Amino acid sequence: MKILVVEDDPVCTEMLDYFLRQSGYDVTLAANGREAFDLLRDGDFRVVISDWEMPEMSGLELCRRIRNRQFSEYVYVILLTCREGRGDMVAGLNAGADDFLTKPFQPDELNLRVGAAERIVKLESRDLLIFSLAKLAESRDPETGAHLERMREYCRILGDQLSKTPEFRDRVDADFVRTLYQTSPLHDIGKVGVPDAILLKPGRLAPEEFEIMKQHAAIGGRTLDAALQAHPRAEYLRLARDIAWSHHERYDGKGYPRGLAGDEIPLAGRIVAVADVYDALTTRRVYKPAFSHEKAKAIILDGRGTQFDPSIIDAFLAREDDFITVKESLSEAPDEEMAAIPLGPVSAG
Amino acid sequence: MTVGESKTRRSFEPEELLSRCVGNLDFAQHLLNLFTARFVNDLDQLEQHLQLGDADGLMRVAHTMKGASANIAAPGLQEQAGRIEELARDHRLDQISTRLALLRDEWARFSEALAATGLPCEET
Ligand SMILES: [Fe+2]
Repeated sequence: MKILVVEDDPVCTEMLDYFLRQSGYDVTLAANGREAFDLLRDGDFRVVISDWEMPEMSGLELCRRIRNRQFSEYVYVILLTCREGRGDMVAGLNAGADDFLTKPFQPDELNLRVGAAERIVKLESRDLLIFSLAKLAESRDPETGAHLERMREYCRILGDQLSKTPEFRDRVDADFVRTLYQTSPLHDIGKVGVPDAILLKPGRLAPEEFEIMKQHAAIGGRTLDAALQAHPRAEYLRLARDIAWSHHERYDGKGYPRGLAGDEIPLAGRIVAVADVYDALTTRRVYKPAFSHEKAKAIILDGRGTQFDPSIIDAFLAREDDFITVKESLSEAPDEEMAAIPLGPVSAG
Repeated sequence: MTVGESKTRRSFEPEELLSRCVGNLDFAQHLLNLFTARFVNDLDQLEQHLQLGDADGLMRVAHTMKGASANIAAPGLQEQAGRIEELARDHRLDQISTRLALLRDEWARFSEALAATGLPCEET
């Protein structure tokens, strides 16, 4: 990761440079804010560590400029402060600083702050990357509108509710919910492997066409599985793979692509199945109007224990109002929906 | 020696510096070299700004010296430089030459303490 160090004191500069390099960071030095700002415009720095008081342009001013400029990626700013200057932190926060490091610092303090910065910028790029991939897949499929945005909100609601139940408390924590929120938009990524003639066909699909359409679950699952093999430590890829592969499985084992049943279906897949179907039901398709919440709810309840995991339906019932809120706040103009992918009566894309 | 508040402050805390350098003697040595070279230069700068009556210049240089002293674990120098910074900020330039003498005294003490640690600097 590239870090820009902005400091006019050579001792401090040297310390930052030395310890950051030792931790494996790519360090660039600037002697004042103006120099730093020029470097920021040309380079792809994600983290800036800047002294507060410097000639030419202060750290505070640099921070304000970074925030006003709105670089394509978020730039995380750590301001260096003097021990006696604690009252200034409010000014630093107002200028848009993310964190502070008091001088003189110990190397492990520095590592701690920079480690936190790295986690945050990575989280952000990960989220962005996932969502743009999902959007790319969705761009071939004009029907869906704000489908991904709603879907992940529904997933978050369900995950949050499950995290409060004794049955799921151990497995569903805040991190699981966050990762579910980030990766659920990838559920249909395998549609990139479905020919346009089928994906964009207006009207119902013939049975053999439907068979091809169904392949999107396995295509997505296998693609993300390959990514996971290459990056075995990226847990979010595991969740993304599970979701893509299993969001069309049914609790009774009659789903696809593998016909898994009950707890064999990864939990994330069981959650996404409910979120996905609820959204398909409550939005318009060429073969059906947008159903009301009540009608969608009745259809989903009908699938309790057959199509859907009963525990997740319970979570849905407990948080109905939140579903309605999301549905209404992220609803789209009716004329935005053009073509359609008919997938059967209670199936989602 | 002039009587000064720095009596309560140690001139140099080598253990502290070494801990900041995670025990890396060579690196501590390198930092001390950088520090002493810059500090000697900054002392002259202060003198020049004082002769020109440039309060902003005094304040800026003293601030940098204060920060550098803190980083190198020289609390006495940090304090003396801090006093000059304050006086310059308040435009009390008449009191600065006395303070500058105290800073030079402290610099001598620091150099002695540094020599005593067996980490003498090349540039001094
Ligand atoms: Fe799907």
